[in-house]
Amino acid sequence: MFKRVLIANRGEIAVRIARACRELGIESVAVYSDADVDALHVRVADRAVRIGPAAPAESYLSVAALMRAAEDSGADALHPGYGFLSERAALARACEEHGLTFVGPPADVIERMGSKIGARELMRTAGVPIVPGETPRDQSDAGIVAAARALGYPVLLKASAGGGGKGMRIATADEDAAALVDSARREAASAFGDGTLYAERLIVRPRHVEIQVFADAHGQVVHLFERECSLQRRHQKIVEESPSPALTPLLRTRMGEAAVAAARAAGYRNAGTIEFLLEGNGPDARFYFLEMNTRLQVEHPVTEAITGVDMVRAQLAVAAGEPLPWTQDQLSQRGHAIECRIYAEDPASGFLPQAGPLLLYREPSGPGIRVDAGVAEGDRVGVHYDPLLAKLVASGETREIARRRALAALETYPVLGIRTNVGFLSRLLRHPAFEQGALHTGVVDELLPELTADDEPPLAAIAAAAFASGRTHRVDVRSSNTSDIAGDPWTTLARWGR
Amino acid sequence: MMLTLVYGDREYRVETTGDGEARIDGETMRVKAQRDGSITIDGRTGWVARDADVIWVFWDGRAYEIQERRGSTRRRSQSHDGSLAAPMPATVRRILVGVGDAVARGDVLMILEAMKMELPVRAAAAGTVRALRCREGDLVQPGVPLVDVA
Repeated sequence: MFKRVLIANRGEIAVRIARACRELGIESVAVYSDADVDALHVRVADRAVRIGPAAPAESYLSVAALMRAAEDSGADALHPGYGFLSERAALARACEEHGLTFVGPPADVIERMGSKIGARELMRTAGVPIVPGETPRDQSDAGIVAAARALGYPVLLKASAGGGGKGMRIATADEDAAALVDSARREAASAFGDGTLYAERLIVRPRHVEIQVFADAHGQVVHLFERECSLQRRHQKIVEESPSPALTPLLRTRMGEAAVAAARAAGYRNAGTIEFLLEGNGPDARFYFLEMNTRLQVEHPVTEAITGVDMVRAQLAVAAGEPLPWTQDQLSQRGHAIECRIYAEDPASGFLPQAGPLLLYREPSGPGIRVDAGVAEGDRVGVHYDPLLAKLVASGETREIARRRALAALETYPVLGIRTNVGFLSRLLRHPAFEQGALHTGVVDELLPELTADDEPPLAAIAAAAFASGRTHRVDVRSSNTSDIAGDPWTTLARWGR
Repeated sequence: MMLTLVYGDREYRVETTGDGEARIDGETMRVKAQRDGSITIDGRTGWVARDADVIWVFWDGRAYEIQERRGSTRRRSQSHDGSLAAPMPATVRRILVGVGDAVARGDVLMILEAMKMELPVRAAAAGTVRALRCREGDLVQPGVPLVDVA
């Protein structure tokens, strides 16, 4: 096992990894930018190294700065967490060159799975279902329409050369396709200098269901069941759960097998996730490969809750060359878990990220409640990084028990001084669509007006405010070195020591 | 003691007594404030915290930002009331409204770009656009008003 692990990340995931290191008797080394001098992940690690200014490009996204930090601290392994450089082959490669063990898959696997087209081709050859689509050889109007018809409507027409929604058209019938080809082609040509069109079956109101996989260096590959992540805003997940309310046991088995086949085909090692789109319900549901995430996921605690394993611990063991701690037969899904991501954002104004002081921050606790946080009361949330504050994971014997637990926990999770999505999450979990598990990736957008409706505070809240005006609860807010808060009275208050 | 508290468009006249009673709209409540920031009213508990302008209250799973109107001043608040500001350094991509436009709550007024994300600035309440304080392409700093809606 390793002696010292550099954690190339910040926030809750860096805290999570430091905790696993401590349990394993491994020294943890945090890295921090100038904006994170007093951040929680720095306080909980055994030691910490400054890697640069607040701008991510010069700190958490700098391979050179991380390599220097690893060298200076004498680390023998590097855990990338998620986001930042976790899916950059360059980081894995640099680790190799510096004699560091990268806690993740080999660099060439990251590269292969990072290419949408390459990954799709690999999945096709491995027999994993992919969304039906092609770049028709015959690019004439008639050729495109024929291809669209063969795929089955509705069909998405888009630029073969690029993404980002440019030139994208939805055709629901032949006449539609014929009428849309021209404008799609023109837009593709102007955006990418290439009018070649790609036709793809449009999956209507899909669910996002992903399978956790884990592979070691000894040829063993297992899956740890699914997570349903259909509740998203801005294409980012906000609530995840397992089991998925949509999977039959047969479908679960088939998706698990497909994910293991995919991981094998990729030559995968360590923890990874195969994301699928799920179309339809019950025994008729079909699944299609979306992409592979070659890292630990934000929502991994959901899987930990229902399988009882420690995934970060297993990641470190596998990276150190040990065999996987479990066989497929030893893994089972027990009960239900729901994760809510707590963000500093304002749902009523388009989920705009928020910055400010955590004047009061109290985490819920109790049976079946886990909170992984990257902040503590008195911290200041800055503007430079992802506004994820914490993850609340509620688990119980059934989905309904887990849902009620999550709700009760959200209602005793005061975060004051900055706007968060806590109230929004309560409403979402209370909504009949969630209660019934009737989810798809567009459901949050559809429900947005009711989930963000303004409501008058109860009179008790006003009475509470009246008493707050006389008797004030004050905490010293830790200052951080960001220019945006210069002159703010909070930053001049006493600093808390490490 | 009489206090005037403001939430959105509504004002509340609250009378508090030294022995922990609050009267609002003819209703009397027993209030017990704890030193940890929690407040118990008729058996239910919430949390409060105050910074310069705003009293933050967490009650029944929701957070409310309530303002206190001080003294005899008739102004609703010292800050630009109804003005919207960027939460972080951002570039103004597009401005979608003009001065004099009527807007509904939730209408997108402008699009900012920061951290490679497009951030819509939405009207927090219905009103009329009184002033635009930025132009497309401007780099704007957090807290600086971009548009006034009243």
